[in-house]
Formats: sequence, structure tokens, C-alpha cells
Amino acid sequence: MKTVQLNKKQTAILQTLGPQLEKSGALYRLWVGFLLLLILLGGYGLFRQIYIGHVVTGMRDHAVWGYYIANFVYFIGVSYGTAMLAAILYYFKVPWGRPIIRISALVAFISGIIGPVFILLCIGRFDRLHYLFIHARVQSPITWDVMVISTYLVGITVFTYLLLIKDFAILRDTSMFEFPSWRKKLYNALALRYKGTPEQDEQIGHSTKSMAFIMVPKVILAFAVLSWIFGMTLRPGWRSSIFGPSYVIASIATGIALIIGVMWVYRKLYRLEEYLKDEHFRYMGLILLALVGAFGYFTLSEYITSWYTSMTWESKVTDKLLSFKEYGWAFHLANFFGIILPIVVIAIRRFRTPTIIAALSLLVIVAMWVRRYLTVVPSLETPLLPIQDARPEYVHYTATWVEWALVLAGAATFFIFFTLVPKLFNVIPISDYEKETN
Amino acid sequence: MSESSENGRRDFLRKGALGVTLAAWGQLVFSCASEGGHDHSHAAEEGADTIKVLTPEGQLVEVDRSHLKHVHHTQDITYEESRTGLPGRKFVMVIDLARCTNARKCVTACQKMHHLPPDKEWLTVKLMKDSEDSEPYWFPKTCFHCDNPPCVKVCPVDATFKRQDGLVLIDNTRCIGCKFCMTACPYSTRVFNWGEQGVPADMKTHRANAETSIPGQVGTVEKCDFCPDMARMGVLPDCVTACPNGAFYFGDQNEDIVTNGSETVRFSELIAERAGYRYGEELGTEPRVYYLPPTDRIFPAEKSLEDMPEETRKLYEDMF
Amino acid sequence: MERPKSRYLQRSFRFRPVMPALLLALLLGLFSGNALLAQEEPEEKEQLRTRMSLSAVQGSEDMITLKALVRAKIDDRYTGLPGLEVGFSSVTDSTEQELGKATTNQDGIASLSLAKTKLLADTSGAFPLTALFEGNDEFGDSDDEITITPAAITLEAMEEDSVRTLVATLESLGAPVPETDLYFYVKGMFRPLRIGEATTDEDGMASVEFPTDLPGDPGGNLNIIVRLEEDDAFGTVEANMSQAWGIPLETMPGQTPRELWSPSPPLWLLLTFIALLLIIWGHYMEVIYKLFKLRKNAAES
Ligand code: SF4
Ligand code: SF4
Repeated sequence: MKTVQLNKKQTAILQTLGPQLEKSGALYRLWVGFLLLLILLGGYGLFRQIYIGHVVTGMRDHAVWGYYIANFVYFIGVSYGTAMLAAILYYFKVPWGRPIIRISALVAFISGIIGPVFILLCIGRFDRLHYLFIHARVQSPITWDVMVISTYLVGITVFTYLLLIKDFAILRDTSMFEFPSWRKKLYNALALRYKGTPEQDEQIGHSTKSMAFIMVPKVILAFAVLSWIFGMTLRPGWRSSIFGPSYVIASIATGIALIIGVMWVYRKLYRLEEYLKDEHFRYMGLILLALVGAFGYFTLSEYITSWYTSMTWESKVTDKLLSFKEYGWAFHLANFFGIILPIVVIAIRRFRTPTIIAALSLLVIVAMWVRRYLTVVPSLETPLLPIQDARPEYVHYTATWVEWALVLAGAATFFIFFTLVPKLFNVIPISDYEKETN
Repeated sequence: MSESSENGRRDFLRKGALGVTLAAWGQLVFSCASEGGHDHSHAAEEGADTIKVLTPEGQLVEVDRSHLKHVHHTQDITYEESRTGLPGRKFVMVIDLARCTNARKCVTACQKMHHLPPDKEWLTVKLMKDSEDSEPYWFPKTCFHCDNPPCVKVCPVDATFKRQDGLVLIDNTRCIGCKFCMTACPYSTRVFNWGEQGVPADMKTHRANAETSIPGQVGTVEKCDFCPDMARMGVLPDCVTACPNGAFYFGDQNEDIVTNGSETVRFSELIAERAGYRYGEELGTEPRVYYLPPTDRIFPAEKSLEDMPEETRKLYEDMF
Repeated sequence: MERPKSRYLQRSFRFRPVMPALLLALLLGLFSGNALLAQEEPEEKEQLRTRMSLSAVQGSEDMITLKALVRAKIDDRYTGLPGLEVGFSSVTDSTEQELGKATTNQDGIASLSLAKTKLLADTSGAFPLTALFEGNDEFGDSDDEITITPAAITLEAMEEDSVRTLVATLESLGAPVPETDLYFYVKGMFRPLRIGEATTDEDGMASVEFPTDLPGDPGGNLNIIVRLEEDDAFGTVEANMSQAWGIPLETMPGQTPRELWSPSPPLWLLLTFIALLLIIWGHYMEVIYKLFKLRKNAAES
């Protein structure tokens, strides 16, 4: 029976990544255990929320959305952004992009799973979720989003899978490792009887390419629809025409920052310096610089216009963001660490080392989350009519432990996914190096 | 659990420094109402169910609750009817800001009518001040039952809807609790049922329909509904009849008649003569509630704060 | 045991020759009288004292409606008591005739409609009427009485040179009633709208001009009411008629519009939505189908 043949380079990669595929150490188990604990804690919080009601969260009648929605838009945005990046890198066959495409698609896949979970957490009645389909109203941006997100999720899953088929076949066929039989069966099933014939290559290549092609308009649509959840309301800070573009740019930037982070960790852990080269970090860093710069410009443009003019309702929100008595610290620090600092540092050639870029990415990852939070909550806390409520929790939103637990559980899911993935298949796509000469 | 939370609420009321009167009233509110008033036989079955009421001499007397006014007496209507509305009607409300003294009778009447806990207000009275030098005034705010309702536009499951009689209602057996409508309403009208509220146990058997809005369901959205179940019987909403100053006028715009219970006037004339306006006209929501400007007020706005508790007054400190 | 006795006492008191001054004293003292009785009988302390007011509405076609409002003071407010049985009777010096019983509604009003011919008249032709709530374990008894002189209003609508006039004639016992204020209303959903008032002349006639700009139902119909309100001798006397003097209400289209806020979406939105879904899902199907083919091809080769 014909099997997939490996060249020397490919064998080398498999050898580098082999140990991760085969066994795991004590530290590794501890880490996974810790993450599972976080997820369990989130599960307990969720149980309380379902059992008692949304009183256990910090959300109240004015700030009806909080951490959950911020997290939802954060993760789903990251997912869209990285999916777009993967699709573009694939479609245009960007030469340096090959090792990044897979990580990118994986980030897109897992964020695409985590994000929607958070919008579900925000829904008061789980028992009625199916109404979203059986009583769907086409006029509602939520309906658009339900359709777009489920469509997108299928798309990104198929796309990610297409990128993996050849490697599953390699893992199926290799005799380098002693896999337990369930894993062999799994690879066998996932490899879809791929034998490496040119015909099959062409078929997969064609499918992947068309998935990549359609991914771009789809993601743009998905971005638009998501930003319209906010944009279609009469809220200052939400209903602005730059909201969508600004969100797109911020999300792609965050996605890139996350990819850089994952790359950096993998490179360090699995000694992948040969595949995830310095230049990869440099290129990604430069993209990050450009995106963060654009985001900075959008931010400036959005807030300076409402600051300079004087529409009462709108400036109330802007004032809250700028005032150090309210959200000023969060807003300014997020802008400094998430926009200004990365631009300044990456602009200097000398600083474009993997570690510095990864560190800046970490800042961007956090800062962008803060900015997401700052788009959701201050707008909700600033209704048209004065609040005048004696209950402080109705005036100011403060997340409770339940929300913290679930947000951490979300992050833990992200980490656990990227911890487990190298156990299942190689993070560097071996199949991509088939034409490589030694 | 609901049983205990109900008891808890009663205990709380009893212990509160509000005195015997409130305790008696509290019980009346929470235990009277009952069975949605479908028929009296049901009440008769529970003949033993009595409530204590306070006599003018300060005595507590036990009274069969079927002999006290049913707070929410409703007619049985079909689901279809609750969605289409009263044929040929277009409900409209006019609120005379000059008459509002923040007596808050409308708020409590509404809470009693809809079995709301004391801290949940479907109808709120805000203190407004249009500019630095202008005088503050009280602003009772119901749902505006907008003709171009942003809240209805965004509902993904058709749980909140606009009827032919102009009312915007919520079917709380349909609502999934996404709260999108709450963010969409620019008037902060909608409230969420964050946790189980102490609805009397017998209220739970009441068949929920969009017209009565009760019993409330945890995890869904609620709001002022203009009491269409009462209107169906030709009875004015409770806020209208409760206001001691007659600040609320309610009626059918198709008839061009509005009434505050004692005065009945033509809607168009009232609006024309008193320069009625709709709040937030520039938002394009086209409210069905009109306001008459607070000219020649009965009292200055501060007046009504004098007897209020300290923390309530604090809310408005910077307004004067 | 005691209660029937006390009722008997009250009733026998009422049976004495009616002297207006005494009657007034009785009405005023009814409340405190009850309290006195309650003090005498300790087991009745638990009762809530009630208060009754009887009124009558004389309608058209010789009908009369008796209305008895039973209230009690609860939390410093008089509140109507629902679900109580009130007996009505017609009482003259010599005879007493039970007219019927009615149960109070949500607002505490028991009403009984009947033909005037069923009532007993006194020597002057007026109807002396009483209503009695006998009391029960919780509520003390109460009663009230009134004397109503029969009267009727006839209402006519006249249109001349596009001036619309309502003419009402008030008559009592075959004679016109002059110098009496009549109020004209249009029926509304909750409360009637007053459109005019006029005083009757020596022929018992009063007229008002009817406005031309009132909206009516889809047929332009309006319900017009004329009323003599709570008169000492006549009670309330009213007459009503339906007249197509309103501006016809434009009937609404039966189906709901296709709007952003209605249940059915605008067509273009629906079509775009479906088209987009079809395109993308169609594409998915193609790719997935190819993957299956990949598997199958491999199996064949
Ligand atoms: S006031 Fe708010 S809740 Fe009421 S109809 Fe208008 S937008 Fe909807
Ligand atoms: S919270 Fe309920 S009523 Fe409001 S939009 Fe969501 S489903 Fe509709």
C-alpha cells in the first residue's frame, strides 16, 4: 500500500517535534491540571448563574452587558482576524507565511469556539436558545450574528482541517513513533485515505484555496455584523461609523499579537528556531505595528471628534473615558501600552527581536481587552436619562467572582487547547516542506 | 425556594422600620391579588385564606381575601389576541409635568399591580434639569410605546413586539433574555428579572400572557405595559388613577379622547394648547407618550424632597 | 345570634313614618351607630364597618338601574368591597317589595337593572328605594335609601345647513322639567367626553351644537349621551343614541407591515439574508463533497 514519503527535511521536523507527540512530563501535567481547575471553577460559577439567575453577576439594568460581552467580542474578533490572516497568507502563498498559517488557523478555530460561549453566558434563558432558530427574526442583528457565526465556525473548522489532512496522513504512515492504537485509528480516520497522489494534492489544494478565498469576504461580513450589534443601537460610543473598521483593525492586531505569543512559546518550548525564524517575528511585528498604528488613528479620530464637538450624550461617554476619576486610567494606559509603546519600539529596527516583539504582543493582548471592555461598559453606564438610583451596583458595573471565574475559564480553555495541540499533531506543517531540497 | 424567598420578603417587610401599616399593606399586596381573578369560585375554595387589614381604629381585622379588590383581574384572551391588540385602538398617554410633585403614588400603584418588589420600578420618576440655570422638574417616565421602537427592531425571537393598538409588549414566555432590547431602548425603560422575585405562590399558576406581564419570569425582560388587560375591561391603568394630581392622561388616539380619571379632554386640543412634546424626538423613535411642559408648577421640585430619606435626597444633590 | 336582632332594630326604626330631618340624621349617624352596636357586642369587634351609598340611573325605555356602592375604610382610604350580596327593595309606607339581589363587582358596586313598572310609587308618584347589605363574619351591615322621582330624557339629533344640533327634552310624570342643567357627552373608551351643557327651557328642552371634527368608528358612528347628573329628586337620568356624525376612522390594513419593527422583515432584507446564506453554505457543501470524493477516489484506486 502506498504511503506518504518524507524527505530529509520533513523527517527532521518530525524528529524535533516527536517527543511532544509521544510523552508528557510532570510539569506539563501540573499545568494542564491547573488549567482544568480554572475551567472547573468557571463551570461552578456558571452553575450558580443558571441556578440562581443573573443576580450573581455584576450586570444590572443599566450595564446589562459586561465582561461576558467584552470577552465575546474579544475572542470572536480575534478569531475573525486570525482566520483572515491565515486565509490571506494561504491564498497569496506568502513565502514566509507557511509555518504561521497553521498556528493562525488554530487560534482562529479555538477563539471561534470560546467567543460564542460568552455570548451564551449573557443570555438569561438557556432553555430557550432554540428560539433563535425557530422564531428567528431576520431584522435583528442577533439573528444575523447567529447565522454568520455558525456559518463561520463551520468554515473555519473545514479550513483548519483541510490544512491538517496531509499531516495526519504523515503521522498515520510514519514508523518513527510508537503510538497507542487509538491514536493510530484517529490519524487513519482523519487522514481520509490521503496517499499523496498528485490528484489528491490538487484536490486538497483547490479546496483549501477556495475556502481561503471565500474566507475573506465572509470574515469581513462577520466583522461587520458583529460591530452592528453595537452599531444598530442608539448608544453613543457604539453607533459610530468608525466602530466597525476600528473593531476590525483592533481584532486583527490582537489576533496577530496572540499568534506571536503562541509562536514565541512554541519556539522556546520545542526549539523551533529553525522553522519559526527571527524574520517571522519581524514580519509579524511589522504587521502588528501597522495595524496598531491604524487602530491608534481610528481611536484618535473617533474620540477627538466627539471631544471637540459638543453633542451632550456623546461627550458624556467620551468624558468618562478621558476623566481620571472614571475610566481615564484604564483608557490612557491601554492606549499607551497597546498603541503608542508598540509603535515606538517596533519602529526601531534594533528592538525587533522575537522576545521584545512577543513582550509587546502581550501588552497589546491585554490592552485590547481593556479597550473592548471600555467600548461596552461606559456606553451602557451613560444612558440618555439620568440614572438616579440609590443602589450603587445599578450605577456602576463591577464584575463579580462568577464573571471573573468564567473569563479565566475562557482564557484557560485557550491555553489548554494550545497545550494539547502539540500532543496530537505537529504544530509545524511537515507537509509544507515536501518540495524542500536538503 | 420561591416559597422561602416569599417568606423572606415578608419578614423583611415586617422587620423594616416601616411600621405596622406597611406590613399590613405588604401582606395585602403580596397575598391578596391571587389567582389573577379568573373566577370567584377559585377564591371560594381557599375560603380559609384570609388577610389582615387595618381598621381605622388601628385594629387588625381578618378578612376573606375574595372580598378585597383583586389587584390584577383579567379576562382570558387567546395568544393571538394578546399579539394583535385591541381592535381599532391606538393608545396614547399625556403626562403633565406641571402637575407632578413626585408623590410617587403612580410608582407604588404600578408595583402593586404587577407584583414588583419595592426596588423594581417599571415607572420611574426622574428629576430633570434641562440646563444650568433652568429649574429642575419631576419627570415620570413610563415605556413610551414608540411607533418606531428600536427595542422591537432588535429582538431576535419576536418576544417583544408592537401591536396594532400601538402597545409595545413583551411575551415573557418567549424572551430568551439576551438584553439586546435593553441596550437598544434609549430611554432606559426596560428592566431585567435578574433573579427570582417573590411572586406569591398562587400567582405562579396564573397563565402568563403578554398583556398581563405577570407572573414575571427570571432571566427575561420586563417593562411598563400600559396595563392592556385593564384597558380591555375599560379600566384605566393604575398609575393614571393613582396619581393624586391627575398628571397622567390616558386614552385612545383614534377617539381623540384622553382622561386622567376626573378630567376628560380631547387629546389633540390638550397637546395643541399646552404645547405638548415627545421626549427625545430627535432620536426618531416616535413615542406614544406626550409631555406637557412643566410651566406653572404646583410646587417647586425641591419641595417633594423634604420628607424623603437622606439617601434619596443625596441622589439629587447636585441638581439644585 | 345577635346580628339579626340588631338588623331588626334598624329596620323597625326605618319603618316609622319618614320624616326628612330624621332620615338625614340617620344617614349621618349610620356610621357611628354601627360603631355603637359593635361596642355592645364584643364578638362583632372583628368586623370591619362598611358604608353604603345607593344611587339610581334612569335610562330610556322605562328602565332604571340601581347602584349600591359598599365600601370600607382600609388603610385610611375608602375601598370598594367586591363579592358582597346586596338586596334591593322598594318600600312605601304600607308595603315593602323585594326587587332582587346583586353582588358587588371589583369596585364594590352592586347594580340591578329593572323596569320602572316593577317599583312601588308613593303618593307623589316617586319611588322610595332601599338597599341593604346584611353583613357577614367580616363586614358589618350597612344600608341606604333614596327616593327617586321618575323622569326621562328624549334625545334627538338634527342637522340643518351642516349645523348639527342635539336636542334633549326632560320630562317627569308627563310634565316638562324646566331650569335643569343637562350635560352632553360622546362615549369614550374609558370616560365620556363632555361636548356641551345646556339648561332646559320651560318646555323641558335643551340643545347644544355638535362639533364636526370628532373621530368616530369606521362607519363614523358616535355614541352620544345626554345626562342629568345626580339630581336630588331624579337621581341620574340619561338617554343615549348612536349617530354617524363622526369622521370615519380609517381602518387599518389587516396584515402587519414589512418593517424593521414588525414581525415580518422587509423583503430585500429577507432575500439578501437568504441569498448570502445560500451562497456560503452552497460553497461549503461543494468543498465537503469534494472531501468525500477524495476518500472515495482513494478507496477505488
Ligand atoms: S420607550 Fe424604550 S422600551 Fe418603550 S417602546 Fe420605546 S424604545 Fe421600546
Ligand atoms: S431580551 Fe428578550 S425581548 Fe429583549 S431582545 Fe432579547 S429576546 Fe427580545
